[in-house]
Amino acid sequence: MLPGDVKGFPQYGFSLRLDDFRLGFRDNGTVDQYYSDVTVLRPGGEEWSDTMWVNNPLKVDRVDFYQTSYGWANSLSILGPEGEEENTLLRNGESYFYQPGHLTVYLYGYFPNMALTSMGEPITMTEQEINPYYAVILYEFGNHVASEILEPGQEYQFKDFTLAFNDSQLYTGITYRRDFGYIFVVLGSLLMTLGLVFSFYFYPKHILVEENSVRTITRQNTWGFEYQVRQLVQQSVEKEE
Amino acid sequence: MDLVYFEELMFTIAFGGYTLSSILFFIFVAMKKERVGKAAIGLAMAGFGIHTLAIVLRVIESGRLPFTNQFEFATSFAWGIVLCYLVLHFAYRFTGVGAFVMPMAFLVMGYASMLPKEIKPLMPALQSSWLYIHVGTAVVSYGSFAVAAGLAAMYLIGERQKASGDGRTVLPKSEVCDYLSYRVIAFGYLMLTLVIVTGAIWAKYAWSRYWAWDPKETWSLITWLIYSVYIHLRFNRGWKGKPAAWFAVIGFISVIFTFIGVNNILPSIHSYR
Repeated sequence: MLPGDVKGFPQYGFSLRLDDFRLGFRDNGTVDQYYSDVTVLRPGGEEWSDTMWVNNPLKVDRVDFYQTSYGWANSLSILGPEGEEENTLLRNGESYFYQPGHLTVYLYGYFPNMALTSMGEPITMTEQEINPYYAVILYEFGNHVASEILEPGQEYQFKDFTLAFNDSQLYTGITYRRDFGYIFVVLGSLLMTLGLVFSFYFYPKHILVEENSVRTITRQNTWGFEYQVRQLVQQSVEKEE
Repeated sequence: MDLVYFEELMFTIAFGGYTLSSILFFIFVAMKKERVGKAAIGLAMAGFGIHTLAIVLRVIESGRLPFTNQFEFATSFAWGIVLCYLVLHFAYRFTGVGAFVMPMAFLVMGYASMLPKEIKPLMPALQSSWLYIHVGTAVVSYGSFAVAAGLAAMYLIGERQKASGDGRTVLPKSEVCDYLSYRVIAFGYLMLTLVIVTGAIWAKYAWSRYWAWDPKETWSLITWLIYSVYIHLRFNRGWKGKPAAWFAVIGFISVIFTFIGVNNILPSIHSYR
């Protein structure tokens, strides 16, 4: 979803609008957290807003919403010789086929803070838009014709056509689930853990005291129990002496 | 000089302590001199105290428990091994056990010393309280399995000595090693169960699913199944002795692969470097 998008969930009786998707940055430019500001819209006009982040999914009624991916949606415009314009959104690794020119525009990547590796490969240092560039590859009739690095808004002329990447927006991928099993998973886990604790540590133990003998009876940890009892007996004998 | 310097210094001293302690334990087992055994225990305790201090310094520096990358887990793992060993020592006073457990702490510390030690901020998926219970139980669980594997190795060596007719030994009786190994495995198994359960519930919050057959998850399950078979056979078939000891060793190999092998050979969303 892009900021402003609304996704309806008629089966659950509400819609979800993404108000904003933003990244929280640390001082060194790395991503600290991903935030989605959303508004839940109900048919009666009732609405409420909340913010999701990783480890903090949104719960609406019994439906859980999670952020599961993100990326840049980049707006491409192509101007033909007659002034006709086509606009589309491309994500990294996607291509657009421009029919009038038999031209395929392949967006190798949008690099918001671009640098080049020693091999000449473009990479982004951070997700902050400090030094943004687009790496674009053009094919005509399926044949490679150009590879370019473009600034935002920079026009590139190929024959009679002009193309430019004007803007980039962060999008977020949202997954939703209605999970009836959660309570069973938690209860099952608790039961299994308690079962292990009881079987390992609260098993039946008996001490059989007869004249001149003390015996231990247990199915589990027979040596350990006998050792403990022997120590106790020894201590009490030492005390008496 | 800042805290990082002192943390690294304490880590190195603790590593040295564990190394010397391992050597002394070997000498104790070979020469059967009580004084050497006491010195080995003393060094292990001193190393543990200094190691704890190194961890505390790292906690102060980073503002969180050291559970978030390979170095931090390795140093915590070594700490968990020594903790489990010392608990066992003070409960039963079998000095010879150290000869089989402290070298493992030494090896894990050696592995930790080769890893990058810088403190990195928590990545978004790790920013959760579940981290502490999930990884904390893993540290204790893995530490227990290491001690159990040491005890199992002692059992196997004890049996060999018995067969060769060498009666003079400072190692506990084979029967004792067998039982202690089982008890420690039972505790480690309980902790490993908690590791898997808390990890699954946390994954539901962070990634929207309980289980994804990620290599780390799969190998944790394999380890859990190995120890499940061990415990099941012990409970219901009265399994003990040599096969049980070998099973404890195989289980620990699986633990090591889950920790080191998976991180380096099968990278996944759990590979926090």
